[in-house]
Amino acid sequence: MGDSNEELEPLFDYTRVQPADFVNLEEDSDSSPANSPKRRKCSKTGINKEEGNNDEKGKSIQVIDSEEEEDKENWLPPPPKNVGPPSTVQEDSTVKELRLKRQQLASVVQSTEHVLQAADETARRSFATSSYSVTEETTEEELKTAVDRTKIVISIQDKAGTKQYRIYADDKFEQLFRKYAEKANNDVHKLVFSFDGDKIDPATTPQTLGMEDDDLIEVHVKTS
Amino acid sequence: MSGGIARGRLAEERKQWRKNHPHGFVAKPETQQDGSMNLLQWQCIIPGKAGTDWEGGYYPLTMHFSEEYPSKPPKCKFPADWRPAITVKQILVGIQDLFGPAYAADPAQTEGYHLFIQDTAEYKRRVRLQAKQYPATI
Repeated sequence: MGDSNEELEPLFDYTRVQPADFVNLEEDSDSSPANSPKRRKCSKTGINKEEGNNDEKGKSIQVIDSEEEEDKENWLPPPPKNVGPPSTVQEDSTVKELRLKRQQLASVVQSTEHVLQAADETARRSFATSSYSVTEETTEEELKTAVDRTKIVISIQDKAGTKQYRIYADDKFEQLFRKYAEKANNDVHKLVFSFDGDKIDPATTPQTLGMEDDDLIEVHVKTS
Repeated sequence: MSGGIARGRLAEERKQWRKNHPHGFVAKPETQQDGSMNLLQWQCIIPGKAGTDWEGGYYPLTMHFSEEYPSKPPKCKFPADWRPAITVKQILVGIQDLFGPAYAADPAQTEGYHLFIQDTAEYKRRVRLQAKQYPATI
């Protein structure tokens, strides 16, 4: 799987798997104004808890949230801490707390790179897993090739003679029949293929019919 | 006694048949109710020869082998529509029919040849009718 991971990497759309926390940090470091509502929700939840009468904090928040002041009330419950009017003592502790938070945020910003890498890693892993299962469903044949499929030699006999074809024992006959018809310059729908006197359903495989190497399939041209 | 020989030989013949046989012919051991194969009884099909009045007919035939095969020959049966009224004479003439084109090719069989010539139209009509009674099974 290691090799295929490397190949698949460029195809990955990172925005799909970015965790909410990670996005929040990215915004802080970039102060990018183009935010999705989902991302904003996260950042506000974190910051509003400390929001009181502190102007300094308010400004720093506004950088991020200036776009949608109204929305704040809509989907954020009032922070429990700030329900009552803040006293001076409380204010001091709030300021301290805010400073602490800012430091934390700063350090978090610094660690953004690490988080990015981690997220990248996670994304790669999840993508690899998902792509594996998708591959299994959609391109069954390709996988089987890697898993070592048995090939079988089948003779097709018409009135002109016999020719041999090598196909996968678990491949449907329709492919072989089409190939034969193409070479014989005939319409595949005008041909009937039979094995042991029984018409072969093109949807079956040599395996399901219990065919062996060098078994003979006869071609008959429909008369009607 | 020689049962092992018969079955061994028939298994090998069947193996070879699967790899190579004349176009349009079928020969396969009967599948029994439990899904196993009865090597001593084969279901076969003989296609009517192209360019003859038998063309287009696929004539079923069963071959019954004994444990003494190949020392003793198999019994081959067409699914004859037997009626009690059928006589020895009709059987022999019917077998002669199987030699069909040989009549025309070998006038040395004077009597048969003359019958064939005299009654060609009727003869051919019957053969063609019979061929239609055994259409391709596929």
